[in-house]
Amino acid sequence: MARAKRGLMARKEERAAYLFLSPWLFGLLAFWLIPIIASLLLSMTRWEIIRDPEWLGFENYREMLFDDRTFWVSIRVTLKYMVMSVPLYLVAGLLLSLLLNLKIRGINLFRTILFVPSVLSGVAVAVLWVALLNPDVGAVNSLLRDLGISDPPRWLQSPTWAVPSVVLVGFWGIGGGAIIYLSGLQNIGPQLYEAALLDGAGPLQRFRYVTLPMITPTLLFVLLTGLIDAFQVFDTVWVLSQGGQGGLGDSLQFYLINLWNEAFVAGRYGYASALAWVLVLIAAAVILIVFKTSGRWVYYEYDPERNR
Amino acid sequence: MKWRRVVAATFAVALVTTACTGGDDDTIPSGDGSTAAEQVTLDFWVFEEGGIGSFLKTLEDAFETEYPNVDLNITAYPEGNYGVKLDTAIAAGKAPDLVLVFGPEQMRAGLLLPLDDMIEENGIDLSTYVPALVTPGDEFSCAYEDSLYCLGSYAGSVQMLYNKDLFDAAGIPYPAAWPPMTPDEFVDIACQLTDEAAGVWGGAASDPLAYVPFDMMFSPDGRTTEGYMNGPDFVHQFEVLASGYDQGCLPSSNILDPWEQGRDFFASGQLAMVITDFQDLDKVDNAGINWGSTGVPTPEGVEPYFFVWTDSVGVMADSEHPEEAMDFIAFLTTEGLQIRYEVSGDIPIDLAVADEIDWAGGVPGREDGLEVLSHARPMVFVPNRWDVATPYYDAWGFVLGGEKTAQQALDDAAPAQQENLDSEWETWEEAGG
Repeated sequence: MARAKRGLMARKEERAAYLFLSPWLFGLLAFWLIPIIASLLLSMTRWEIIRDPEWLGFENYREMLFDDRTFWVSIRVTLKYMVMSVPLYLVAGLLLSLLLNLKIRGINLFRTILFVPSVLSGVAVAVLWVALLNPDVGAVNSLLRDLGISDPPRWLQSPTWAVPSVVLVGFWGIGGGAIIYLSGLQNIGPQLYEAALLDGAGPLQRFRYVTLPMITPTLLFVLLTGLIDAFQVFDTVWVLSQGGQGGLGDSLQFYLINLWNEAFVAGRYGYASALAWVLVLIAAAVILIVFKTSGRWVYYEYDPERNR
Repeated sequence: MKWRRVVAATFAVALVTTACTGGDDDTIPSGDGSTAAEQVTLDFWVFEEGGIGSFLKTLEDAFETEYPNVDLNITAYPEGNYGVKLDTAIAAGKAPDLVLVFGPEQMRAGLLLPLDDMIEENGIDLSTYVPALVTPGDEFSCAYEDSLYCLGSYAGSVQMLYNKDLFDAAGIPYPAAWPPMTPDEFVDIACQLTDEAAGVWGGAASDPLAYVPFDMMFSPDGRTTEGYMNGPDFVHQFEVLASGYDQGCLPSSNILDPWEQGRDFFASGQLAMVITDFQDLDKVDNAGINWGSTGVPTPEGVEPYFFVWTDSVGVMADSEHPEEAMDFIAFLTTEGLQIRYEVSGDIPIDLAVADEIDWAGGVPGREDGLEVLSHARPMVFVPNRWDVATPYYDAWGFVLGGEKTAQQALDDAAPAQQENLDSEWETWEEAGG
């Protein structure tokens, strides 16, 4: 009798739990799962919204891989940006955080000043940088000419300098990464540095053998978010390329810019869905590789495997 | 439980209330028991930055005064979002009654109603309308095959404004309104008029396609561009305009955008000639500039072409109120011309009306502009021509940056542009099914 009563109560509690979860479950279905499945199905159709979708199977994917020059250009441009930006931002953010970890008067003010740019709107920052990087009248080239460089780069209007320009604009926001590193640095126990000092370690050795290993979990986090951000770069480049025009010689034809243009300019929603799925697969592969290799270089102070 | 009865009762009341409520269109009973005109709401979607402008507000008030049973509901969207918004609404079966038409694709897809019957019933004489806007061919034309699918209230165009006082000071005779000068003459005169010390540039043009006819880049059937865009005639146009920049006679678009800033710089006396939109002329008049207008520079032996456009309004085929929507378009292109002139000063699309209201007002530049406008012609049809021409813009960028010669840049661009063109024609033909 008691067991039956407990079973009935458990079922009632289970129903109540689902009732309370139902708004979130509805949201999950309506705004995440169903659109994802719909996107996958649409990626196999020709769909221009004003007409019914036409089933194509894997034709969109075949076209992408073998017939679409712009797809490969966008892959190349995005990878170039990723290879340039991620290591630079990683190193720059870490160096900045080491400076921000110093115990000097006014350090909180410096931390605030360096963090503020990362919370500004990417669009507003990009609009500012378009003016700064104007090759004829922008402040950057005016300064370079004053320094004696008679033929400065044409920045966003040069195929060679376009992606480096985007990387340069991104430096504006390294304060955000530096703050994350800072929290990692401040969690390193001082006893480790004391022990290293007692062993006669100099500053570089303390950094190499204490700081760096202890901060590798934070490095992994910043690396992963940096890679995801690099795949997803859109709003800044949209403004820098003056409305997604792809830049001179497709030099700013980033992957998401191409996807946007296929969907909302060319009206090829089916093909754009296929592009989105390919991006998901590429990003997942890259992140998986990073995770798989992280065991070799990330040090966790508490390792469940070793401490069993 | 008690709350279940409350919920059920509320639901029942809501059902009953909904069943008893009518739709948007209420029939207004008159006092004697007969039914007056049906009250109708017309949805009109436009694209305007910053919300609905004063012309549309004035037009709305005037139309609703003449048609008291019609409530005109105008919604403005940013231009970049308009196409997607409209496509989504069509797919959802919730398209508006009236739309701005921005290409022949909608006409071809049967999304718009032909206006021919309305034009005949209202006695609208299209023979005095700007020709390129009512004959098939041009991308901005309201005509497709044998029917007209949209009409507007004004005619915008690209022309070249010139400062007569600067011409007088340099002893250069004024160009005729028509036919226009050649691009070589344009650059040559611009270099004569440039005065660096006084901060005056001789001329401004954004790129060769601002004035060189699109026809020069394509075959007569619009299906071939390789061999045309990198042929000697078109290459020469690149070289001529680039030489103007190299000599410092023309400011680059990084310094001055002729489309966005051309009239401002011209009104301030810093530009002797500018190829720009022939609109917002009040700022030029009010600045006291002694100005004239002429057609855009055109190579010798080529029939001049310049872009013209209007606020092309069409009726969606699925509109529930096509008669009222047609009434609005008839109003727009008749009484609306006067309202447009009074509010924004733009040229009426009907050039006979421009004469009647004395749009030029004795200003020589405006008289020149009307003469230029009368020569507007359609050009070869190329589907989605601006996206097709992306490689052309890249080529121009390489030439301006000094990275390639004009021939090299256009030779490199031609295959990519041909590929774009083939793809657009394929899409066009597939859509025509």
